[in-house]
Amino acid sequence: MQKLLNSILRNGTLLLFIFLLALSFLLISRSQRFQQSNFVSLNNSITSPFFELRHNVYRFFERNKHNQQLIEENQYLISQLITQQNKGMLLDSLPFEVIPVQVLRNSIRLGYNYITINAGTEKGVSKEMGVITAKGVVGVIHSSGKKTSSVISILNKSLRINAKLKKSDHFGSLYWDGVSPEKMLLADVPLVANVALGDTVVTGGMSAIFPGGIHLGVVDKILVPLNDNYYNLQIALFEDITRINHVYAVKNPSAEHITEIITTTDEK
Amino acid sequence: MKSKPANFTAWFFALIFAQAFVLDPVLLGVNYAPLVYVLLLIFLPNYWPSWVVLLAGFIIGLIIDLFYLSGGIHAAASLVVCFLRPNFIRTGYKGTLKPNELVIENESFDSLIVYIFLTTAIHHFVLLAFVVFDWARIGWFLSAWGTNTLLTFVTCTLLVIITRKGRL
Repeated sequence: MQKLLNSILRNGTLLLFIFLLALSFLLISRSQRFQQSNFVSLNNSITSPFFELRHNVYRFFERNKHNQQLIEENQYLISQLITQQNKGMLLDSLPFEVIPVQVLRNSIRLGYNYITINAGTEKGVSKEMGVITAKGVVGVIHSSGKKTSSVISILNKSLRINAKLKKSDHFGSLYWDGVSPEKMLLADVPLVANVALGDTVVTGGMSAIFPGGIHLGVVDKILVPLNDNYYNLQIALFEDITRINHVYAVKNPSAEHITEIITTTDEK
Repeated sequence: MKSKPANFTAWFFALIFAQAFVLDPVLLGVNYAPLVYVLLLIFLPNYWPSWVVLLAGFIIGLIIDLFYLSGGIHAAASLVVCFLRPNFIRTGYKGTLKPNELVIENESFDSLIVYIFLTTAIHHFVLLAFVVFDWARIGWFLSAWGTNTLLTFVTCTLLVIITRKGRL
């Protein structure tokens, strides 16, 4: 026992190093699994006031640019709304509640990136709502505080989004491979879809999170794995995720109902 | 920068603030921004016991992780650097047998440059290894490591020169 104690005292620094390194590994591994990332929620509550302050300072200097962006996005949304109304698709487009929010912080350098927005439960933003811009999808709400929320960015390797080819309605699964913030991959699109470069990809609408038909990007590269019946498509995103500022949280009023149906179907 | 507690505390708040609120690549719209908080690891008081240095390095890294939402990669990189610190000091300040008795302000600037470079290079190596974690992206890793190290090294060196009050 005495020898053990002496040995611990002699190698105290090394043991402390190993302990702290193990703690770092634990934090890293937890932060890379979004279901368990309490770290994200915790540090949002600590750091959000600072980022709010920073955001306010920078917003003052960049307000003209941001106002212009808002005007353009509103213009786009209104034109979309009118188009949809003319097509007689009111039921598909109106049920979704859109909440304008601002990005306080956006990480893009890691494999598992998160975004912090300045709206929480007070403004009606809650877990598992989709976040979009006029040009595409930004992510999914991971957790909400009273005044802020954290969003799993589409630049997060954990996230998969149901998407489809606009021209043929063939579905696939859109995900990020961690390489370029401008490109994503669309997998599981059958070969019969007859894909061409430049084809538009939109959200599939087969979930309670995103409405269908939101533009995502265009086919940039077509890959067909050997002996496979499915395409692997590289998609160039319309939205530059590294530059987002004003975004919109989308609330599907039927979300609970849809989730219930999916759960019931899965159980059967 | 001197290693006196009051000075170190002032630098601690200044560098953490600068790192979190100014030198943020996303905010600046650039791919890389210097990680100036490495200076804190370099100038941790030498007379501190090694376990305090380790703990301080870990906490500094963890604070940056909080602001950058990066799990614990800055904490891990800072910890490794603090663990290897006596070796960096011995390499930079040749002939130094007891790193904890070294007074950086009394030594040559060339030695300090070597010490800063070694610390920065190893810190960024560990950090980016955690970010990339994929042999298929070794090219990106090396390029990011080189660029980031150079950027941080130049910025830190300039900061040290500016704050040395004309004594090189």
